[in-house]
Amino acid sequence: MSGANISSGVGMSVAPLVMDTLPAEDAGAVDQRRYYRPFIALLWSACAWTLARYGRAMDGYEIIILLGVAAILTWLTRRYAPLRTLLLAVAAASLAAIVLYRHDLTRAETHFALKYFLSSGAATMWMCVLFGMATLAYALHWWRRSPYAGQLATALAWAATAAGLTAMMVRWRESYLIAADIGHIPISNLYEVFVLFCLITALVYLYYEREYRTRSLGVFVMTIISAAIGFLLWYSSSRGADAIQPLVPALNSYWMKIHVPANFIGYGCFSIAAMISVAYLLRERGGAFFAARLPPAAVLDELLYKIIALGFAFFTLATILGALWAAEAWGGYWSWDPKETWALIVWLNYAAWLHLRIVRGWEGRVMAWWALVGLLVTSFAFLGVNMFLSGLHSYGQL
Amino acid sequence: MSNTTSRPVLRAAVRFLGSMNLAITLLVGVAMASVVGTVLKQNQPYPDYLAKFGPFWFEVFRSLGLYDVYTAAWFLFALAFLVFSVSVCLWRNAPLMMRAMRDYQEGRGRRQLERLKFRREFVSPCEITNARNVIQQALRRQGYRCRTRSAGPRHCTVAAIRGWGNRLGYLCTHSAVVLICVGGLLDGNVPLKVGTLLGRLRVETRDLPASEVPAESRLPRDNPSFRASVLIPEGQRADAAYVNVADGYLLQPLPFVVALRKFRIEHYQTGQPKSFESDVTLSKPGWTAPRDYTIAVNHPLSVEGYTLYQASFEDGGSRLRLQLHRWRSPDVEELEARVNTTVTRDEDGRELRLEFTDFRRFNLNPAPAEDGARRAFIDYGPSFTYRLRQADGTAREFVNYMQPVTLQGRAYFLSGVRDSPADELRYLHIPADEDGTPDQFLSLARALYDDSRWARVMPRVLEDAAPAAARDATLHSNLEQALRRLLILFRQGGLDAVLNFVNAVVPEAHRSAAGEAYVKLLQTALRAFYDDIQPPPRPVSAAAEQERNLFLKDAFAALSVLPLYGSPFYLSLSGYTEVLASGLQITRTPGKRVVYLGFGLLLAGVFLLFYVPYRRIWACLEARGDETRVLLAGTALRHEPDFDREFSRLAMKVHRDTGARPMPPVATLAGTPGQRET
Ligand code: HEM
Repeated sequence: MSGANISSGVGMSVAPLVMDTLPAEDAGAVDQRRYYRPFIALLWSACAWTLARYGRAMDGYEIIILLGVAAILTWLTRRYAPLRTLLLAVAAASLAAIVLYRHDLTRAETHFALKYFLSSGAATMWMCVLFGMATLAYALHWWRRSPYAGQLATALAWAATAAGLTAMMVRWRESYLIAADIGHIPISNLYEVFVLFCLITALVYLYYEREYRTRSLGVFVMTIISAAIGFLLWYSSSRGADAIQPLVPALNSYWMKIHVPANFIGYGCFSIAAMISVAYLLRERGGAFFAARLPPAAVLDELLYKIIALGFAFFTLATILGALWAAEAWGGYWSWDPKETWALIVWLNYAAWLHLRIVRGWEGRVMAWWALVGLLVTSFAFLGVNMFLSGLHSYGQL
Repeated sequence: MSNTTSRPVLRAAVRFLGSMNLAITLLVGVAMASVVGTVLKQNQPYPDYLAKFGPFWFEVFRSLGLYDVYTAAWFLFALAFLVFSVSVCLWRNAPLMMRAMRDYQEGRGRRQLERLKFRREFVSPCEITNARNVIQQALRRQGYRCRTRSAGPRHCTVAAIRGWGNRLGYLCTHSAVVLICVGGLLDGNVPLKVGTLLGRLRVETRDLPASEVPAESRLPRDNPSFRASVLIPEGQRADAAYVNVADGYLLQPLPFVVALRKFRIEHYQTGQPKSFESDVTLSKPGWTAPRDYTIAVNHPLSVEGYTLYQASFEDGGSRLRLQLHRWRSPDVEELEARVNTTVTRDEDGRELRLEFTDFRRFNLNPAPAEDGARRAFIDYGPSFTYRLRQADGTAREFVNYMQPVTLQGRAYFLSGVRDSPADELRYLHIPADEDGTPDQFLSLARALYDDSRWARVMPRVLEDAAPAAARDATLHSNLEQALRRLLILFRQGGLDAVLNFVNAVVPEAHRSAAGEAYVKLLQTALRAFYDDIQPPPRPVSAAAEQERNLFLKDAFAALSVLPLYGSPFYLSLSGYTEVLASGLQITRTPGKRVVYLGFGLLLAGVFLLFYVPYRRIWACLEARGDETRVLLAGTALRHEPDFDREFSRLAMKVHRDTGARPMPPVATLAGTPGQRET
């Protein structure tokens, strides 16, 4: 067993745990309140307007989903203030794109703003570029401990997230412009979920960056996002995967809208956890250089636990939703299909991790290695199953 | 410890079963065991495994149950062990946790509290009751429930707990695991396994109609739990379904009759399928009238505890109108056939069986990529599949397309052929003529096989090929002999035979020249045959001439491989009536409710465990004249850094609100490892 209890730094101090480059004074509280009320008013008016205008055309599920999303955003933006700005920016950009398209998809080629900024293809490219730049800036910040680079990195990561989210929204619209029956939420194939993965991973990371006031983990997390971006670029250029395809009948279900995002919160968290583990191991082994550039081990440990717990909770949700969906589409809530089985394997793996951590109180190196290996298992469940195994989940093949 | 087991062996067993080491071993163990079934494709026909692993390993893997891991005894045993372990764990922990929720432990004394990791001590100028009120208020505001015990007027202890939901979370999560596994067991096919092992049930492996399946392979009609499937052609009905077990099946009689009125496939404008729907009629003895329903993917039908799902579809015996074009006879034979039936034909005294196996109305193929990125699909139109079985039992499979397919600007009728399902199809490309039919090519092929025509055509070929020979009778007859041999060779073995012949008789230095000459001669001959069956109009326009040349080039290519095609005729499709069969899955899952309850508990439990922190704080107050000495101490199950912040904030607040003196420095805590307590 490695590491006893956290004995340093905890106990008596009132100061926040980590001091990186962010201002030490508690700006959080002010920031938390900033234009929350107007934002919520706007959110719910938009919701009401949508219902008034399109309510007749929506079915029960759609109304529930709309209200559910509004409720979740109300709660989420209260805890996570910068989301407000992000959502406003994305809403503005998406609405602009919808207006500029004027029901004509070919304008993606002819209209300047669409062609270079707002069409989903262009916005995805911007996301890729901005994440790439954010990675560099985080690296610079980490290497030189330059606060300026750190601020820039965070800003770039937010901008990339905004671009990616806009791309998804606009792509959603574009699918309807191809034909009304082709339209669907853009989380139905490997290309689309990779974008989703980048966004969710970034958002979860940015939340903890703010919460823990540390930017030094950015370079680690952005590395994995950059890897995903690399895959995305390869996949779209060599396989033409960015084309919008109609849904196969099995995917045409409301369950997809919640099952897939829940799953990717899980995948995103497990990826971040693995990168924190890398940081942890470097800090343990890397001597003064890394010690000066990374948060204290106790904080990394705490963060690791929190993120795995978050991932586990959402992965549980996703697996349950998957089972409910399977019960409707395939005639059984559990068929031991390879994808399902691998989800179970991932889940059991992290359940074992959490037990060791909570009940046995294990901390430190072993748990970090375990979380790192967990990423291999998770990636296999995410990608490997599609590549090497066949089963009912036969979409998203490479 | 709540358990009252008296015997030490039992107690040790319980301790072992509920131990964390065992739990973690089991979690990891089950995860690893699950991998097996994803790597090895499950529930395939046994011959496939045999072919893959050979007789020895096939047997080894079979005895380990690897072809159906998830119902193998050892796997179920591991799972059961996990469930048992969780149950024991629950049984041991639940009473403790329930008690912990209610037990404030207000009796803890100063000594005990001083050993806790989180603590703060100060002296407040206000009186003990005031101080107590301030503390209680501050705690309540933070979400704590308090209980106070006074030990005389000068001492009191406030004990507070927050987050009993966390303990509830533990109970929810772990009982959910038990519920889900038990519910799953109810719905699984373990009873079937047991039935077959005990010999009460015998797995049927023969392909029998439902009515002929023997009684020992039939499941009871009121079977509470099963998962069966059935294929119903349009216009037909079924009152039983099949449960696949190992390399065979069991018959599951149904309490109702399902009739398929219509199976529908809708398509997107791009051609991909958009929906699969079955219109069914269910009838049951007790019902006053049959009931109509529609079942679609993602929209199953539930009736009286049974659920019917759209699972698959295939051809259900489409009627095909065919034309049989023999290479050696000008007559076209009309033929009617149904998919899944066999037609017998006598060809040159040998019996040939045509087994029609499939018909497809749509054949979507990726369009040849133009800009390399956009993928679209084109429909190659209807196709049908048949096997041509010789008297000796060998068979060849053919897949013919009804409409010409355009490839690189030219239209062809495709006919795929292969000797075994494991091979790739190789295609004969029959060029379409101006009318979009294969007729011209077929006439040309027949001309080539028609010896009586040769006498008429041969002189023309020689005239075209070697005008000089006309004057020399011997040369002429030699040449004619050679040409005849060449054509026979070409007819029997295609271009390969000709080239082999060249390789065999011509010295290496001249081979390529000779080969070219022969090909040229063959092409000239082909043109002569072509002109014979269809004299060209005079004068010929340049465009028509080019078209003819292209046609002849394609025809030559097709004729060059015709001997490899391996069929004495070409079968074309002139019309069809599609009949589809819908594959339905029919299930009865009594455990579903239990499992879903488990899902709910699991989800609630996990979020409670992670997001409702479980914490305790004590305040020990001691009056010293007008002042009060306050000791705040706390403990948290996890999230210690968070608790540290909460505790500090609380202490600051209490400190301020009681107007205490600046805090005296507190002894460092680094040496006191915190205690974890429940
Ligand atoms: C599939 C099986 C299991 C699952 C999914 C599961 C899940 C969980 C989860 C999510 C936690 C919370 C960890 C945390 O708070 O971070 C937990 C805690 C715990 N589990 Fe399990 N568990 C399983 C099996 C077991 C078994 C077999 C045992 C008994 C040996 C066990 C004993 C415990 C205990 C004692 C705790 C700590 C509760 C506390 O004090 O907060 N679990 N479990």
